[in-house]
Amino acid sequence: MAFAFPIPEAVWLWSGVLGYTGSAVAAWTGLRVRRNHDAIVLALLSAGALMFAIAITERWLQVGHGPFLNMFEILLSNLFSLGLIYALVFWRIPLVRPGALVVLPVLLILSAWILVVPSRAGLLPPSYDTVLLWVHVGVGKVFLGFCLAAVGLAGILLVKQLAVCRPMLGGLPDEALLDAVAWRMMMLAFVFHSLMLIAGAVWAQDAWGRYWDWDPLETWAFLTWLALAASLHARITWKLPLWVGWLLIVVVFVLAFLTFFGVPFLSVAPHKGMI
Amino acid sequence: MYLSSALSSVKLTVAGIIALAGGILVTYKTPAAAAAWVVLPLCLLALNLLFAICFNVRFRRQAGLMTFHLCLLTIVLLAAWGRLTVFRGHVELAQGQSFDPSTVVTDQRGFWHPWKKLQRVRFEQGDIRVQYAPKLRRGITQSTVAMQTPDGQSRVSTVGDIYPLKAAGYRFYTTSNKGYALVLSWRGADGNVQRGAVHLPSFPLNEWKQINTWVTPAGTAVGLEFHPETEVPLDSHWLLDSRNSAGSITVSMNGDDGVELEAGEQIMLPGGTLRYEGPRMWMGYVIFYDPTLAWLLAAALIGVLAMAWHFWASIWSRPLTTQSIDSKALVHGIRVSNT
Repeated sequence: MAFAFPIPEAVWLWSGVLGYTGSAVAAWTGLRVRRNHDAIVLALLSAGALMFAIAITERWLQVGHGPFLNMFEILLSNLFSLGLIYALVFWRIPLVRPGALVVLPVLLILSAWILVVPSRAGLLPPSYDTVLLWVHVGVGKVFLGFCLAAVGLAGILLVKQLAVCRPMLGGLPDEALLDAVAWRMMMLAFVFHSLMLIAGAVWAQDAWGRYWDWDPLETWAFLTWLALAASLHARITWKLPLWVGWLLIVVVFVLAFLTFFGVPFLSVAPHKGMI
Repeated sequence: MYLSSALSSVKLTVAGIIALAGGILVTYKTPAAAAAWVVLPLCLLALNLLFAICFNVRFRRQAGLMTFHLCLLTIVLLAAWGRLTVFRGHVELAQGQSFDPSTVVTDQRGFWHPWKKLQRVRFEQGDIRVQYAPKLRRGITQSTVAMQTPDGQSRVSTVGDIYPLKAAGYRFYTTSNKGYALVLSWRGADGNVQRGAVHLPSFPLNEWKQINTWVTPAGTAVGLEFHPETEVPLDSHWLLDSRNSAGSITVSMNGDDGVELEAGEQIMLPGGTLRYEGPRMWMGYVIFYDPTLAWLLAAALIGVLAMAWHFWASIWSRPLTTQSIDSKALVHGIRVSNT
């Protein structure tokens, strides 16, 4: 059933983009003018996530299904989930806040991307009409959210190593402390990534009659899991310099990012050929 | 001692994981590459884990971590067992037809697959309904089947899409492959009557060529072309429903124009009489058997819970630092006063 809405979806979408843009600007100007803009950053980030939530709800009521099908819907749902998860982490764990200087630009890249992809709706395949999809996608988004929080810290710590940025970022808390926070985020990400693979396998068994078939998305998701597992093992085995650990976090995030946004984009549908 | 230490080392774990990732990339880029690219690193990791469990006391003391890795080992073993007992196949069943294991086409069969279990499966194909959205986008598939219970009772259920038919450990999944079947009766010169169905190409995918050839019991090859009564609408919602199956057929021999028959009509052919009983629908099923599915899920879930417990007990529950952090003195967590 289609509903008529007084405010078009695009208005909420643009409001969300503006919220994230404002949040990023507040974070960077706060650093530049040496003033604490945490409250503004959090408020704008939360407002942006809320706008995206409204955009998702309105689209859902119009097209009759959740944001699962095409790149527009994947970007829209991730803009909401990543913003929400990062806002929660930012609010509850002050030590992750330096990472906002990296995280918010990443969200801006996604925001810019969503503005240029086609937004036409597709038909939800019967194999997507299951609670398992919700679990699979839900825990996947939590994984990416924690990974994003970790890469924010790793990224800002790596940037700090550059001589030109050192004066501006010299006041960062102890590197070992931020490193520990980043890796805690990665451990959480590992748990949720594992749950995502399990829920996905259960869903795939019901939907397509096999729990694992090495399709592009499955393959790259598993490679991301392996990269994360190898990073966690390498960190405890060798006394790696901190910066190597941060690079590993970035590598895992890049793999995860490509899995979420690259592989589905290249293969048209999230699981190529399986709809 | 050196060997056990080397084989249980975490460095070997990292090497094994990298080798596994490399093997996956090789087989991903070159599907024809041998499975050994993946299997060998997995074996190395399994061996490494086995030695770690046996010889690494520190590892054994951490119950959560140990449980997680035991579950990983279990998953590898279960997956291997699953490969040895797996069965994949496909079959087409027309309305009113009983499942016959001898008609199943095997796609993959594990060395230890208990083949006789498939003989226990008893069900009959009932009505078929498939919803379509405009532009022929397939929606919900509903296939009615009548299962025969061990006590001889018949239990009717509807399967389709994410709800497979489960029987004797096998799962029968409906597919997009379905179409019309022409039910024919053949009365030979000796008076014997045989009845069967000729399956036509998948519908509506091959709506334009609902044609098949059939060789009569007397050895005459005839061409059969089906003309469905209802047209397939491209711009509106539509229901492909076996209950509405209707249409005539053209029976041709040696490329002639042929003779059109309505349901119930018959034609004399060399060696006998062919009677067109009417159209039915057939459904294509994919059959899957893997006895390890439930165990795999249990091992995976226990493993993740154990890992989460380990992270919580040994890492997350510990305070990050003894030094108190005044978040108000930070700009996005960066201590301003220090700069």
